[in-house]
Amino acid sequence: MSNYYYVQEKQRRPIVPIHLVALIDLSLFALLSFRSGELNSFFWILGATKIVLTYLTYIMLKKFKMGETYITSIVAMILSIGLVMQLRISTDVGFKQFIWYLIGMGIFVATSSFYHLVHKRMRSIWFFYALMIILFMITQIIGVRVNGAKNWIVLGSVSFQPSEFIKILFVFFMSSFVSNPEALRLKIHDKRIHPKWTLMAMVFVLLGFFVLQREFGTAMLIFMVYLAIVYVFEKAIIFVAINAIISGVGALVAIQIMPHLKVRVDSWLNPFADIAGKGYQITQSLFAIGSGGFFGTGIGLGYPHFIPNVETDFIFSAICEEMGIFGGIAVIVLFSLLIYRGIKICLGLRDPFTKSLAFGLITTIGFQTFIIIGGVIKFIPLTGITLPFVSYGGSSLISSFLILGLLQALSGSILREEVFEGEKIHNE
Amino acid sequence: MKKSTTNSRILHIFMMISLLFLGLILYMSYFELYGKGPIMANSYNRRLKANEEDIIRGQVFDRNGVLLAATEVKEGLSNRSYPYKNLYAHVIGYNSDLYGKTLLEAAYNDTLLGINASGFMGNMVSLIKGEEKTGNNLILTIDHNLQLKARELLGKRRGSIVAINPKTGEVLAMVSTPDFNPNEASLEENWGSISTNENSPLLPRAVLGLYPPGSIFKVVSAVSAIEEGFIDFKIEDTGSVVIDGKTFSNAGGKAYGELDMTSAMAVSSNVYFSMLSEVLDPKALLDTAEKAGINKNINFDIATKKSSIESVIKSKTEFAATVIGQGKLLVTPLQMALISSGIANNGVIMKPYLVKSISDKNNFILSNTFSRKLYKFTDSNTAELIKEMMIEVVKNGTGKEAAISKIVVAGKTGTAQNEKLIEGNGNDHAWFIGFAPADDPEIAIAVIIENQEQGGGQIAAPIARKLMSEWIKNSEKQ
Repeated sequence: MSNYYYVQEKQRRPIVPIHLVALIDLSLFALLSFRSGELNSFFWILGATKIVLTYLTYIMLKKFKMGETYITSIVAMILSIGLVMQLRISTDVGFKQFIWYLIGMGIFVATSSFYHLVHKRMRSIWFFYALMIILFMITQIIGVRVNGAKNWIVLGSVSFQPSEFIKILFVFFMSSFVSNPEALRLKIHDKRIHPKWTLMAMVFVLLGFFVLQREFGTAMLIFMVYLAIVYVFEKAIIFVAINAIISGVGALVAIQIMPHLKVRVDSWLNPFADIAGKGYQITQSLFAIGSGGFFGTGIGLGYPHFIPNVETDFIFSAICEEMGIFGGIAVIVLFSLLIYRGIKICLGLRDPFTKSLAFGLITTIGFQTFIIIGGVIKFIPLTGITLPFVSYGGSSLISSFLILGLLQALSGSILREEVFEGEKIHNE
Repeated sequence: MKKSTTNSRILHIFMMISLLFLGLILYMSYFELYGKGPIMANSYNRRLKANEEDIIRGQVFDRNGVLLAATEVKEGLSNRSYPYKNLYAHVIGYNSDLYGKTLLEAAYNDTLLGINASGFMGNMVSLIKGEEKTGNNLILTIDHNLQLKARELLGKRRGSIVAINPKTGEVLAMVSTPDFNPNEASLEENWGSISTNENSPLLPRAVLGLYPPGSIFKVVSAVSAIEEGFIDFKIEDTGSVVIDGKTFSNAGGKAYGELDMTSAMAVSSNVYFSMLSEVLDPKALLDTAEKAGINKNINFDIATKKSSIESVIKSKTEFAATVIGQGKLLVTPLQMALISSGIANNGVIMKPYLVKSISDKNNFILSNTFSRKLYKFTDSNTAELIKEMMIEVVKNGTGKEAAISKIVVAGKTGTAQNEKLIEGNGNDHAWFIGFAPADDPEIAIAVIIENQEQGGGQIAAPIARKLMSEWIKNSEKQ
């Protein structure tokens, strides 16, 4: 069965994308080394490492029949742009990012290879909910405030951002619900309450936590993922509408009573009113995007360091400045392809838990990309959130690779056979 | 679980995400094409300054290649230098870290930095060769010798001279006094005094100075009268006339006897023109003035003030005052030079310009400015009639001091009361507008000297003569 699947794939599609990634890596890293004479060999080593890893991943996926081979190639291409941009902004930060990339690749290999061993045990809704609440509590108690949001945990020299992992736990939580909603059926005074209302209450409590931590971006993200999963798997349009209305009213009230939220809306509507203060970040981002034009200034020829937090939240603006609007559009198109492949994996799955998990993970990537890019180009209010695989940061990169590893595992034949128990694969 | 409905719902969400992404792409493209235009020049855009640090600013030359502004780089620090110091302070302006940019330095900033499209390829070559980026040069229409002469003629007096080639609109000389030294070191040293000086040395009077025109406005009144069919209007000038209870009299109360329009223009009779106002339609005069560009912004290389005429005339006396140039009228020297050039050029005012061409660092010409029509002031017959009157002014009238031997000069003098401008300083402004040679004009000019004891005929006309003969003499030599 699975042999047939791979032979088909090989015949129909020559393995071009992977070579394309190598070619782009070669030219981008060569460009970096030409631009900074003495660090010559340094960039060549990084570039070569990335190319070798990309090929090794590909060979591994093929050899061990670990599923489809496109999502890793697409991510490799996104990573090329991201890593080169980080290295260009600061060799120091870029090198750290490269190390995180290596660690992330390790996480990816581990997850995609061994996740199937635990897959069947990953469906306890209360366990995931409790885990999320505990992470929140820890963040509240020992958390550190960075850029207005109290969302970092620092342990000695290691610091990490729990929200990057909570968003994955949230997808597991939702999938557990999809596979067994009865776990949430409560009985109050002999009245049976439909589990989705319990779910809604639990999700709104979570949202409240995020808003209290001023992580508006993550709040928006998990809410969108929640609505998408409910829409697809609960088939309750009215319920979705009620949620949307309640959250809309809640957001309006929150904007009125929470100054931090109001500031974000104000600086979205008119950033030039307080350009020296609240509007500074977004206007600097717009100047960067505007100065790049359609084709960009060229890598190394712009001034991305004029944008505050350029290596994290505003990395997309730096890409637009130096690679142009077309460079930015290329990044968006790459994410579209990634989501397309993710959706394709999801369509082929049958087990509700597995299907919901794939769906939740890929929509997380999609909505997260939309929220941050929309924010930095002033399409929607800006909320501090990272661009998957591109923004600097260990937590962000590791959680992105974790998602990639999980998707890979879900596309993998071992898991498929286990889940479908020999049933025919409806992939194409 | 019913797979088909679940899958179609998954596709709904996929389509929604695709639409969101499409929204991003469309919004970015919109921002690039339309949204960014108004915001990129914001002073918080540090790229503008950063570009400057990386690029050697282009040079500025006069029409014959005399270097007027250059950027010197010493030990990594660049400094804008103006070798002729004060001479071009009101044309090129200054480019200072502390005080910003003005005039051409501001208006042509992108060109001088080579950050617009025309300089792109040149900079790509430099980039590959590893050379420093260099901006583009401006070649002005100004003639350095004429500019020098104009400045010398103004001397220590306050005022302005604008000289234009009436056939092309090229500005040949443009001087405003008092002026200042635009070199950075001098600016820093003297900023306190030049920025607070009551004589406003920072004001480029040629384009931003608004003055009452006085009798030189009679040229516009005469154009309107001829267009309205009053070419044969004649009066008996008794030295003064009462209009609606207000007396209008000639300078010095002189009575000129029988006057037609030509002789009235020659002696600059206030009596004639105020009586003309009784037959002239205020709307017609307004229309003529606006056809000359009054009440409009002049599209020029540097910012200009709008000359103005009252659009609603409330009384006969007010209109009579306007016709003789004493009403609620304010004009810039540039505007008057344009009116003069319009008469010289058969009624057509050419668009004035200061930048003749743009060249790259190897002096390869990247673009030339083409002459083009700005306003149709009047028809060529009317222009010819006015020209004859202005020739008479210089031959036998108030403008005799502007006469050049062997060359026919056309002109008009003016002495404007200035009570509006500086309180307590009763002296009048001396004006002269004119052009030469009258049969084939090469230069049209406006001269104003502020607060003079004597009128335009004595003060401004000789300056015009010297400057015009200098230009004609030199162009004959070439």
